[in-house]
Amino acid sequence: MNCKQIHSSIHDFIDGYCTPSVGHMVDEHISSCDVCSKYLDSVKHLKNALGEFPEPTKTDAQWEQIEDSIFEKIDTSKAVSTVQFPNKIHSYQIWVAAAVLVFMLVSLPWFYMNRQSNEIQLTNAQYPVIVNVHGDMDKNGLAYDPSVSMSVMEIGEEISTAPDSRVIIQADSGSTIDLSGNSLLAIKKHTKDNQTYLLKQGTASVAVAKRKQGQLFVVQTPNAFCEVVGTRFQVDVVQLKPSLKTVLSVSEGIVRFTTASGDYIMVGAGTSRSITDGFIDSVEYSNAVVEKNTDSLSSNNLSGASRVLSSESRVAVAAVSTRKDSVEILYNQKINVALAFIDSGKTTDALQVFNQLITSGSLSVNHLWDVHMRKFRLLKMTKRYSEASEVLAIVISGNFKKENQSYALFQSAVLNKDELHDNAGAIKAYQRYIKEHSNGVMISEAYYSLAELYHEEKQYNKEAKIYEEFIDIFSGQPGIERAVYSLAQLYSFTLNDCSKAVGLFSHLEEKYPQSEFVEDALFWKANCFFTQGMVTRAFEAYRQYIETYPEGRWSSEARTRMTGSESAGRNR
Amino acid sequence: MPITNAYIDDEERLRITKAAQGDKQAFSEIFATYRTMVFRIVCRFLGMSEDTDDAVQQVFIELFKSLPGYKGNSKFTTWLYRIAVNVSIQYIRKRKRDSDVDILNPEYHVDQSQDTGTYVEKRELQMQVASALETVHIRKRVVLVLHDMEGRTMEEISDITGLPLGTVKSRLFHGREELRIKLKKVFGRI
Repeated sequence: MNCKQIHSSIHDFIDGYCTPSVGHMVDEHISSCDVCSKYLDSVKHLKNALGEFPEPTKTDAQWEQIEDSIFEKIDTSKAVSTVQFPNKIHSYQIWVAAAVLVFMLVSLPWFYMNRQSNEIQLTNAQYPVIVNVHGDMDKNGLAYDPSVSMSVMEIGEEISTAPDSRVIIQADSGSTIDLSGNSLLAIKKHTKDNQTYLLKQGTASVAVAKRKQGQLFVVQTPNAFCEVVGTRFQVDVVQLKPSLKTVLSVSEGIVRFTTASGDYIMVGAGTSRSITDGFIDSVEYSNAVVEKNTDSLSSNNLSGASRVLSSESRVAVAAVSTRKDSVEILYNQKINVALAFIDSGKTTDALQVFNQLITSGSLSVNHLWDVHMRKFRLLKMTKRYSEASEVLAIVISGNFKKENQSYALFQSAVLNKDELHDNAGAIKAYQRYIKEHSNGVMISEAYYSLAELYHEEKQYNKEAKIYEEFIDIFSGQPGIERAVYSLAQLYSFTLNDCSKAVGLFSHLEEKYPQSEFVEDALFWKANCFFTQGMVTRAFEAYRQYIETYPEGRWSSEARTRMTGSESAGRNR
Repeated sequence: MPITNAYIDDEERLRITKAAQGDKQAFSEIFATYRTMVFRIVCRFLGMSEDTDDAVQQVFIELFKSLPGYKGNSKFTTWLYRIAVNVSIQYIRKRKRDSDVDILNPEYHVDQSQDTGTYVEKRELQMQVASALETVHIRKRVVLVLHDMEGRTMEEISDITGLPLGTVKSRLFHGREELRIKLKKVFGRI
């Protein structure tokens, strides 16, 4: 096997899907090929990185809220279907029903005749809908199965057709999109006044029903827009003895221009064509030049008047090949240049590239965030901590997304504490994080870090307050017992409030019996009683500890204290 | 609606049947059993964002509506996966429609037994992986998430997505390649 063949087998090898013989071949190859061995490592590393995303959690209260919302929505939708009709029909209701029926019968022809002017109904959940599929297609990356997949398409959804397949989509009650094989179409917008489809590749034949002014129908490709506009045209009847000429000038849209015998041409915007008597004139004019003749014929000689048919418009779009957004390409090129500088140790040059990007003024918010964070990481890596801190300050105060600012603020706190050794700065940053990003991903870490900083600064009351606040907010969440234990320790050893400490140790035992802190909590609770001179309770608590943890880390200490308690009790 | 077959046990079958008939208690039990799984899957695609809870709700609403159609000829979890993946994709599409591609910030509880420095490093790695993953085409991303993050087998993924096994395998390979190359730019190696 050569390296190229090995690469595709390496994935099966890592996933355990290889046959023994192929596995053996892969094994043999990588033991002697450095390149493939590195490739295997990188794929393994990637797979592990993906597999290490831990499980997100929610509190019981949050789940309750979600469940309530679900049942609310389910009940609402069911309620619509349980409307009851009255059992008894009164005589007046019969008269009303009859009147409505008569009205409908009388007005139906009128509605029919004026159908063309009725407002086209869009934005209802029935459209756009897949009405016909020949061959295979994917919807949103998943194979489309008419029996289970939804035929109605939502905004943002995408379909792709296999070669030799064809799909017809009903865009609204009168418009269709006929998608050929090897095509990729996405629904960008679908409202009453704007239907926009993105044809990324392939061919779409589009028939668009009549629209009111201002109602858009657009098929967009990677490099063009095909927009159905209204249809505006001018018709002139020109009497040329002995002939009659009809001149059609189209300013918007496209019009079918037909002779009396049925021959027709399509005349597009910006052009004029004429029919003289029964024949289509071969000359085409731009609308700047229109031949007119002021002679007139009597109306008796009128014949072959042009007949403009419906305002149906046809647009056939064949997308050219897709290409990436040029802004994205340029951005990636610049980043690659910077990375190349970093790889070769040219930090200053890399920073210059980042600075150029930042000051260019042409970056999207996401790219700007990305560049700032790359710059930050580089400065931190090269121990330029003050400058790194300045970059974070820009992000924190700038017009970035909240989650990005949250991340930058937390990084700032860590930088202050670990690298700049500025505890006051770190405290401020953690306080701000807790206040402004209470839903931030690092909120637990922020609380713990702030508590530790308060402890370092000997601000014990503040430390206690922070733990209490944290416990109050995150009560019941996994990992909270560490805070409970830390607070209990603080009250016990530092603030000398044993009754509060005992309460917290007991709370830990009861609420978190499986916690790693319970053993210590039992012992220190006993100690609290001992310190307070509550001998009997101390004895009981030590005994409980020894019974539960006979070989525990405090067992000999506990036994000694028990003896001490016993003596103290006897001496009373 | 008889659900027959060995993909689910009797208790589960009864619960599903009752829920399909509108029994709230039964549906509540289904919710309690599968909510974490659904939440996890949705988070794989959407991260912990404003619409994640909405998406989770939508999955269960869709499940409720589609329960009468569940005939038991596939695992219930496969059925649920299918709904969760479809709903997640809808939300991704909606997101792309409304804004530029987001840098995904996965919000997860990080192991608190580690020190702050390791938290931050791991967090940063996760952010980069998540960010790169979001730029992978949704077709490949679905397979990557289901295989490498959810630990589903190829056959299960084929069931969930309706794709042939060969297509699943190919998308996994190409998805990993694409992700690997994108991450290489950030880390020099991955």
